[in-house]
Amino acid sequence: MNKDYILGVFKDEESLVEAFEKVKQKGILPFEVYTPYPVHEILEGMGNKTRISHAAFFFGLFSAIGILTFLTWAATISWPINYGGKPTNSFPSFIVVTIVATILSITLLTLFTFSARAKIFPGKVPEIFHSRATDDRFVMVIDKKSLGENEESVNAIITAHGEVE
Amino acid sequence: MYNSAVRGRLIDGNKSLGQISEEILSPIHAKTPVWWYLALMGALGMLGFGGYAIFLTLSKGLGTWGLNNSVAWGWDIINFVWWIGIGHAGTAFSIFLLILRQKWRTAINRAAEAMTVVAVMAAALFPLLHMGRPWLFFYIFPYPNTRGPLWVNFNSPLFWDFVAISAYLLISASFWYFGMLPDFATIRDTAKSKIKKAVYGIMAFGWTGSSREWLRFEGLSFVLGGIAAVLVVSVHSIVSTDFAVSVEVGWHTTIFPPYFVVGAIFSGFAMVLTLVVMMRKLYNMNDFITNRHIDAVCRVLIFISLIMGTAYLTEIFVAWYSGSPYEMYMFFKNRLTGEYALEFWTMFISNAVIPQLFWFKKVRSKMWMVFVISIIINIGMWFERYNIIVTSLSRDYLPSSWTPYSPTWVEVGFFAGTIGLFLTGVLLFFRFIPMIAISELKSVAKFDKPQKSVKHANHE
Amino acid sequence: MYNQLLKEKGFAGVGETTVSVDLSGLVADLIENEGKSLVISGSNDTSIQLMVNAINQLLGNYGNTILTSQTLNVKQGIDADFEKFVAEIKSKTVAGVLCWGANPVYNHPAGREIKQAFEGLELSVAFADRPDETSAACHWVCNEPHFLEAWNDAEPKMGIYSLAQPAISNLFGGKQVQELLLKWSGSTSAKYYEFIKRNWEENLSALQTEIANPQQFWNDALQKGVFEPVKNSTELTWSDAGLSQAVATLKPVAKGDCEIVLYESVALGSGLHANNPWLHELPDPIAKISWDNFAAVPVKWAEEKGLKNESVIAVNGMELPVFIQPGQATGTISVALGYGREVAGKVGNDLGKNLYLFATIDNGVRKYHVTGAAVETTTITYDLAISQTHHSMEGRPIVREAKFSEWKENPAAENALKKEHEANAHTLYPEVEFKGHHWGMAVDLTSCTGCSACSVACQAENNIPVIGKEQVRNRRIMHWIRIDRYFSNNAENPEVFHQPVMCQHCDNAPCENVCPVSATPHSEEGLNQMVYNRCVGTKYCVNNCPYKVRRFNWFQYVKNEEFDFASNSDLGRMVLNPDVTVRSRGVVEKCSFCVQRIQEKKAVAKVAGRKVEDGEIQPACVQGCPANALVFGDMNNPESKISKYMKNERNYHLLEELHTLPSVGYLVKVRNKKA
Repeated sequence: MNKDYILGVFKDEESLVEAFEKVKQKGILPFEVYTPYPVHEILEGMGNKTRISHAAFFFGLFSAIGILTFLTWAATISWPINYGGKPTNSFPSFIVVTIVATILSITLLTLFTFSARAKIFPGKVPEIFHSRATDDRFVMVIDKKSLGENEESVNAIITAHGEVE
Repeated sequence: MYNSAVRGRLIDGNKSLGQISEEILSPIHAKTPVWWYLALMGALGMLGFGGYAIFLTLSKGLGTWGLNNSVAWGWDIINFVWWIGIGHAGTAFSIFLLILRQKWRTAINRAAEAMTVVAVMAAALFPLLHMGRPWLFFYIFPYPNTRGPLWVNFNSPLFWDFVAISAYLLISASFWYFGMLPDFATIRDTAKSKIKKAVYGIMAFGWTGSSREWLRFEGLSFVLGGIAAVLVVSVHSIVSTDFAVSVEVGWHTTIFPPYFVVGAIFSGFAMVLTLVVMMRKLYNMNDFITNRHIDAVCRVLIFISLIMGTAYLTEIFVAWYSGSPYEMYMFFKNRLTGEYALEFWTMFISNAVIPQLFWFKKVRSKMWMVFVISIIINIGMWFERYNIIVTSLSRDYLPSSWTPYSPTWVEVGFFAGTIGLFLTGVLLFFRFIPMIAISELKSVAKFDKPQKSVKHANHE
Repeated sequence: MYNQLLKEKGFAGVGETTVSVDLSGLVADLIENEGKSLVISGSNDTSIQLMVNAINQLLGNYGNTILTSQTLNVKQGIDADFEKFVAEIKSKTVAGVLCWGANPVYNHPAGREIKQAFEGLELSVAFADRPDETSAACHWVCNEPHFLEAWNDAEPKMGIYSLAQPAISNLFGGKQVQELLLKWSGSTSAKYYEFIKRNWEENLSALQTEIANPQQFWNDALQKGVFEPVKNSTELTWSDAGLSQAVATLKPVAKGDCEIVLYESVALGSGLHANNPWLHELPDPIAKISWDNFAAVPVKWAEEKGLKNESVIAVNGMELPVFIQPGQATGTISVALGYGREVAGKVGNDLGKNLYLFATIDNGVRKYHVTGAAVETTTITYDLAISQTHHSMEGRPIVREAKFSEWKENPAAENALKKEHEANAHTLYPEVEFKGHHWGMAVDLTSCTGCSACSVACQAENNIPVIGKEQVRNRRIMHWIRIDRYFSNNAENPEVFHQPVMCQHCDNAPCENVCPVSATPHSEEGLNQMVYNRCVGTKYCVNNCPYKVRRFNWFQYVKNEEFDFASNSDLGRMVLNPDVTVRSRGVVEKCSFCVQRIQEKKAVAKVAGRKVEDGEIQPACVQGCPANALVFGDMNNPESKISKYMKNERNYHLLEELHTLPSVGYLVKVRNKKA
């Protein structure tokens, strides 16, 4: 039993979602919810938003422009060379590399962004509230401070669907 | 939400979430079986043999291979394209089926992605070692240098290829790895030994399964899935430009990009089938990888096989239609008949004819037949690359340069080594990594529960 | 033939008239070209030579194609004299022998007996700059300097004197034979140089009047290298002395089952230079076989006997590998001389079989054919290094050929394809313009005889490695210029086409596009360049060259004990051209149009403040071609020979339908045939 947090532990998704919604109706946003797989009601209910796809779009836009510019510059200005009678600015050839290299840049940059924003990186020590949250338990963590006088009723909601630990 | 009613249940045996974790992770937590050690020894043996072949190649030169002035690419590039093709399965599985919302993929995509990473690694060895001076491979990077700076030739399909392959390796590996984070966390949290906890703890990157992580994780999957779909199509298209951009007869073919992509997915799916049938047999995963999964893959293969057959016939038709004597000679006198007829027909029958047996439900439901046909497809796809590369080079424009080609044992050994590498990778995967994406499987498992509440049914 | 000619000319025939070959066409041609023809003898038999002279006289060639004022002074050996010498050493009527420039132990049919006889003599001395069979059989060997280390003079043609001076100081301290002979004959002047000089100053300078001072005359002659005094007017005349006797002596060759014809191969000749790896590596112009001699057998006969290439037959007990030669006359087998050296050096020892043993002495004349040889087939096989295995052009317009009569009417005969291809050539990109020079080469297929001198010249100039039999057999020969040989489809009596193929220096080069590391770009002068130190060896360019002229260094060919030919010792490496990089393992190489020579002449012209003259730059192959079949020059210079060749209506490009825009042109082969 944690001193600062109440842990609601549920056996299945439905119980969690129902309890979660009831807790929210009380005006209380749980500190965090841990699930073995993504539960969309929770992800929406927690009110977080991710702009990772927007970031990816801009990564792509800038890499594509950057790569194409580099290729054109290197082939026509830096050192123009005649390969098989083609013009030095052989734009169609550049497209191929631009596409693939852009994809690579997007992937790497998005991964770094994800790592940074979700704080998932090698060597991170996880804060584990419940060891079965990655296995078969759905865990709702509620900060006692946020509860105020609702502690009892929240406990009741949780015990109705799962158990408090 | 996803409706699985059409497909029926995706996993068998009414398993609880805990059971799913336990059963999928059992190869990791349980005692390693003897056959695993024997198989690993076999695989390492092949790898060692390949290592010796590579040692000879590096110490003496490419002359140890059977290549010559006319046929300067042989088994090296055949195997490269073959492995890359197989390597397409993982991403293709994950991406296309994700886009098509085919939830049944969840049981297979992890294995397919693992296969991708190992196969692409095996494939990458060939372009590296087929070089005369592999220690200078870094010349291919357009890095600023003191020679001008001298950049590289952006017109060269090999440069495109290099970019594509390295991108593909990096992306598929990270796609695969990041997909495994939640499962590593599961292992970390279910493991009993301290070492395992620590090792998998590091591998899990501190994953806890919080809603914030899941939110971004889903966002990441969405982004990577979207761009990796483009990648799958572009990588093998680019591999095909190695041939299509050239002037050689039988290479200079505009049909190649789609033909290669489909061929790659074909061989990839076949290899997935091989692997998955083995997983079922060796680890009793029948409940997760059900007969219906196998059935679905087989049906996909029928379709792709028809495309392959069409592509072969199109190529032959176009050769005739072009009226070019060189093309006509290549296809009608060198492939359909003539010195390389055996290889051509092996390819044609294995890829376009035999997979049609999957029309019969009896064939699809007999695992040994599925296994055998999947192997035949892989052999057929190997011969497809053989056909393209060797027949074209050995008899091109000037008959004075017509030269037969056969590999030396060094090349064969190198290939055996990559098979060893692949098997080693797969065995390690069986042993140390959850074979099936647990978290994804759990998310589909809920829809299978017969005791669903009425309320939840409304959700769907 | 004499007989038929006589009849044609209305004279009475002589002798028997049975011939196995139909000569009527040849006879008609000769009659048509009276006074412009030449018949030559391939035999040392004086009877035959007399007959040939008679034919030439009959055709009115004396004074026209036969110069009667000058004689050629080479090849003056007389077989009968040598037979006498052999008899003398056998019977020990001579006590000692000095051997210089001769190797009878190897190239005489009775070589083994001569060897024994040498051992039995009181004294036998060999003067030699390298070991050979004869020097090994002699008691003493005197170290002779190489001809490049020695002074010498010669009169190869009557009235033409030339001088040789050392190009390098004496490496191994050998003594010139002439000096030794001078010393042993008691002369006081020990230096051969002084002896020659005195001879020229005293005797030869008297033959001219321009330079009075003998010392000055010597200096002048030495600078020029050649001295041609005013010709004396000795005219040779034809006489029919001995002709009737010759006619009577000559009998048709007895017909056996199988006649073995011995010939000197193009590369190796008599076998004198059998330790030279370039010569061994050079593919035979007809059979395209290196490193061995072989039995060339007729196609039909091989079919009957169930033989394939590389089968082995035993000829009089000697096992020889078979090559099925289209056009080999029925009932004949030909085998090259010059192989089978036992003491030649590390390269030349024990390659092929020594066929001199089969030569016969008839009438005091050596005959290089064996009649009625016993030929047996065997079940064994022997690997041959064949560098071209497909003999047909498959109907492709690779070597274009016009008949002489067609060409006379239409200079563009058989070259209509060129116009068609040019009309079909469409391009996405504009063609690149070359503002300064634009180097090009033309090959006149009519002149090319396939002799392969260009290949060896190139090999010497460009430090091309010798790779040995096994690697040639693996089809990895390194020659930058190769001679493609095709047969027409009539296996019994085919026509042969020779086509030298080197890098075509395409302006739209397929190889350049595909190199990922920019190791093969195009120069501003139209050259397809190879940057060795940039090449990583992907071999993509090798594949994508439709002409297959790119060569890959499959192994380290230099300083590698496994390729022990010329490059493993300091002496061997002296053959390397310092102007050309020696390539390492793993890089691609190919014809550069001898870019080092281009740069050199450009620099010379620049220093002299003038433009490069046409014909000033000669790549090694052009220089080496004895038939002037190769022409090199600047295609941007409208006055140059190459520009005229390129505008010639016979000119076409190899595989021009690919629109690779080669800088090499081929001139349609005009064959002396009637339409």
